[in-house]
Amino acid sequence: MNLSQKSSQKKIYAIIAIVIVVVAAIGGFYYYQLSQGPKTKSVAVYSYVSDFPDLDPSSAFEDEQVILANTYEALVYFDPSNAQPLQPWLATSWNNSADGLTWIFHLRTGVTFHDGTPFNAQAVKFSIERTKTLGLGGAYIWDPVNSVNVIDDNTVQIQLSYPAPVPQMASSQYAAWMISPGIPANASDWFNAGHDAGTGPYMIQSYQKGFEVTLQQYPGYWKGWSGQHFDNVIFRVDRDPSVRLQAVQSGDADMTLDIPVDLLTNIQSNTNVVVIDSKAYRNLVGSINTVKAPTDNVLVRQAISYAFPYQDVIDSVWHGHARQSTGPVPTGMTGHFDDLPQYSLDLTKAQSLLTQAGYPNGGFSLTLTYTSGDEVEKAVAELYKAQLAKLNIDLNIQEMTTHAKYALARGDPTQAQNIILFYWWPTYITAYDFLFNLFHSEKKHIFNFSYYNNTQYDNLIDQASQLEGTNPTQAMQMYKQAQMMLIQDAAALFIFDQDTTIIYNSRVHNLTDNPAYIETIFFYDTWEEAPS
Amino acid sequence: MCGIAIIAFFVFVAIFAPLLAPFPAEGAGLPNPPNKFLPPSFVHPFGTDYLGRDVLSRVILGSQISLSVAVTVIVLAIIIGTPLGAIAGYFGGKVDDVIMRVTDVFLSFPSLLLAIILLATLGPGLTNAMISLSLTWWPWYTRIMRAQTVSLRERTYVEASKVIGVSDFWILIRHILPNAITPILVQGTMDLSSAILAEAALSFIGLGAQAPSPEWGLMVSTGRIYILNYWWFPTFPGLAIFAIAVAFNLFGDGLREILDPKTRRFVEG
Amino acid sequence: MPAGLPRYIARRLVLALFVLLAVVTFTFIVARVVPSDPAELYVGPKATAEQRARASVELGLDKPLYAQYFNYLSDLIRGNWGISLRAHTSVLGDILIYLPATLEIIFLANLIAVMVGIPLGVYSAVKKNSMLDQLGRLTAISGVSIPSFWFALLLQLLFFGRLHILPLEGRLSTDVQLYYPLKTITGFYTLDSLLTLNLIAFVDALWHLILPAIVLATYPIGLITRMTRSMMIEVLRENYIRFARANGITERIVIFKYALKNAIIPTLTVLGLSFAYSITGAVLVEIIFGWPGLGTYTLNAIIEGDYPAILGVTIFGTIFYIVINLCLDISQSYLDPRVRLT
Repeated sequence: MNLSQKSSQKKIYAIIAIVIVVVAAIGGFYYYQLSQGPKTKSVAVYSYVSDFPDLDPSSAFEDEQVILANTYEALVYFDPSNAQPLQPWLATSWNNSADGLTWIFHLRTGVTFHDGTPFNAQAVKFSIERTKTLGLGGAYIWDPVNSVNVIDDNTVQIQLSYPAPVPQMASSQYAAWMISPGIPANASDWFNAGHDAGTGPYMIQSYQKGFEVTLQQYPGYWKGWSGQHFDNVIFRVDRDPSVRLQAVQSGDADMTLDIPVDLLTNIQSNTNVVVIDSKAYRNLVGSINTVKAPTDNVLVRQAISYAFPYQDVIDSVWHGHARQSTGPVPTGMTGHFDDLPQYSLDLTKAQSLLTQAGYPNGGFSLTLTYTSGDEVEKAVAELYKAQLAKLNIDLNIQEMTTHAKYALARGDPTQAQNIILFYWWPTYITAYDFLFNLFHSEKKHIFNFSYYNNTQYDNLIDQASQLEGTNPTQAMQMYKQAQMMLIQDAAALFIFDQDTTIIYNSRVHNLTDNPAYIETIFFYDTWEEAPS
Repeated sequence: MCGIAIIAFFVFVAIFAPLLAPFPAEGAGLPNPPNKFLPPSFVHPFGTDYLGRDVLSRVILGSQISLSVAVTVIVLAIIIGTPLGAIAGYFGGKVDDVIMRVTDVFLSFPSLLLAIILLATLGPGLTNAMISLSLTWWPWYTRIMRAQTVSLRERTYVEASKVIGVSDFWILIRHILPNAITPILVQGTMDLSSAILAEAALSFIGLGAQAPSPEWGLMVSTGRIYILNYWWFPTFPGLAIFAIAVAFNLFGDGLREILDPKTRRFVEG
Repeated sequence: MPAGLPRYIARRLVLALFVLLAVVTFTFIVARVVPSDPAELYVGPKATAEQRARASVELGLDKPLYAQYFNYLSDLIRGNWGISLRAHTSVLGDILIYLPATLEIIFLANLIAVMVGIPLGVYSAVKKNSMLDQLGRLTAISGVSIPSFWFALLLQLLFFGRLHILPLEGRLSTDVQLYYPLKTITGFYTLDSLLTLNLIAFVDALWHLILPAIVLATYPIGLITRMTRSMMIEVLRENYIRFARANGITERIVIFKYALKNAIIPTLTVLGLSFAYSITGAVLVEIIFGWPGLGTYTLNAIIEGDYPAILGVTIFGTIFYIVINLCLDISQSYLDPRVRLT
């Protein structure tokens, strides 16, 4: 190319460079303005640990309730801090027939959905039926329901085919949300494009799939908006716990949870941040295979229960933010009993039990599976391995994805693991959720990873469950007996009951945690003072 | 030169690892909870990890894994790929077509994705990771070997051997293989570095080595969430990966300069 | 069009289709061999037996394997890539939502790699054995040796943890989202912000792109620097270069007009390879930077055993890979006629 071409080429480069510099300068200037100027809205940023795969309120079954509990409401609210935990929400009162098969709910008046449709008995019927028909996620809770009938605009009747605690079911954090009948047909895609159809205080303003959900106020909310409330709530997906913690400490986010306690060691010195610990209805269970040798021998199971380092786990992994489980029902839940016996680390006892079982020098190996990516489970497994090694038992620990872990456990028990670590929490608040799902005999393996097959146990808890709605005292006693059986049979390692540790900006007020709604913050009740 | 020195150092460390590590039991995985997260000090030059184990010992013992994994993966890939390439190049025709199409299929997968899918089938673990990686790597050697074989089979001495009546198998072994081996070796040494990185990446995702193995990628992965608070825990194992990858690359570069006549000019340069 | 080129392209296309079919089949078999329970994932773990049975029929799992395979293929062709078991939404739709985020880092990373790698490689070759050359060789070696996930952590530690000048993760700041919301048109935040004249979002998006792009660029920088350097060294020895120099043509023109042009072809190949490599590299980068892209989507799908999503991503990635290789092959055959005859 000749000289004139070269110089015009140079000119072009120069112009492009100038344009870029100018654009960047303008953008930079405005950006700086933005970071310095006053914030006009009151915004809560909740830095959350995972994303929200399914925003359909009928089928959502992972962590979406942290959002849905703010955009939707259910008939009943479960408040464990109250002597009478079943509190009115969209229903104001309820009663049941003597045989427990018919329930009447009286509904709140003056409530509308975000699309303007009024909330009434028709909407209740629509919601429950839609959820049942879809049959996904938590829909199974409505199994006992035969029919839902509209008595009048504000009264709805629920007919059961067998007795069940309907108010508890109606307070569930899954599958119990009231949905507007105005939604399009096949609404699943519509919900997942970022729409909602609830009565709750907030509605979805924008949705960046896999990353962020922004809520805005619903002006027509039935409780009204007097007093101080957040204008917007943002749920941001930050999978890395150190990122979440950094975000709250720097003020980039207002609250977060699920932080490994090791990262919290210096947190006390930061006055901008508050840490609250509340009981979670969640525990870590190590179901022991009762079918595969050598753990099919109850003496062996008891022996290895005495070889587990319970205190080490609480101290070094949790720094005291958890407590050793007493039976399968977590602390704070009805059906939990503090006076049930516990195992403890006692290698002498373990040794004598092993000898009784015919393994005086150990000499066998066991397989333990745990969830990949879970640092706590990994540490627990490694600590346990070290203890069992002292008894000359080789614990082969295998990290597996949740899915693969369950798939293995659901196959042939004689080929499956000896011990499987997993967390459990209830769909709606009842001890039956733990006792049934984890230990009731199953034809097809779902969650009874102990393969525990005890007819006496089955009958006991089934009867208790039917009595729960009408005679709770007796039901609880039966649950207690059932738990004794499990502990004596050492059907599982009952490891720890976890706390929910919430770390939040000290300017946020009235933030409480309700363990019945896992990791959920009801933002309508909280507010933030403006920065000084 | 430089590369060989570093490699020799790592090999030495790997062979004598249990003797060199100051806390060999911790290196292998024994927990020591009271010593959690100690920063680097005289006693623990690399600090301790989330279970109180000495990181230096873990890194030293991990060298055994990294080196053996890299070598195994590449050797396996060469063992699988080279004969296939030789057969394809020598016999041509339908055999060639079939083998090359299969090669193309494997090469069309983004390699990490293929390894991940294979591991999802086989289940996670170091052995399975090695198998998966070998299965993603062999096609490269098939291609190289085939290209070499194709150019070599036209040579006079090969023609002559055929005329005499030497069997194909013998020709492949005695004439083609020795002359084609050079680019394979060069590629192999360069690939050692990539193999280490790939295996570390798989362990990082959680599909490779399992706890309590002192594998370097696994350590970086577990330590990842602690980078802002306890930086030493993921940093030193990652540094080790970097160092050994650099060493293998230098070695490979040097080898290529020596063995490949075309590039010899650079050395004189 | 040069002779032989149409036939070459046609052959390569047929080959590509065949390969794609083989890949789909392979992945399909693998996805079904893995012990998994798709019905369970779809209906949720606590579903009743009837709900599972119904889901099995809905998902077509009750049919024999070959029937499922043919159904899957025919659906694929018609654009139905299945429903994600976990999210109950269309797989292809989800892929297209997550794709721009990944492409944004890949483009930026390769742009950086080219802008840094080629000049570095050229000057390193021209000024052999100088400081610049040492820098070039160091870059080349380090780039291809450094574990990207480790490098990302170090950068996070330095630029966020200690210096506080770059963000930790995500594509946009929360403040920008709220006060200057970005209207997404293409899904490329840099592009969309320019199209909607939202300068603040543009700067913010770039700011968030820097670290992931740099990390993803390290391997391509290494490759490109090394390749450019070695090709330039080789070309600079050629007779026609000596001839041009002897005739008094300025060094700058010699380097850029004559030498670089001939060195560029293999470099393009390397660039294509690095672009393809970026797909897998993006998975690691996305994990560390919490980037809501295809890599994160893929990893979650694999961990959860969401096989329609896994299949969808594999097919998509393979198509991407094949298309790039095809373009590379075609451009190579266009530039170098000898290639067409193989």
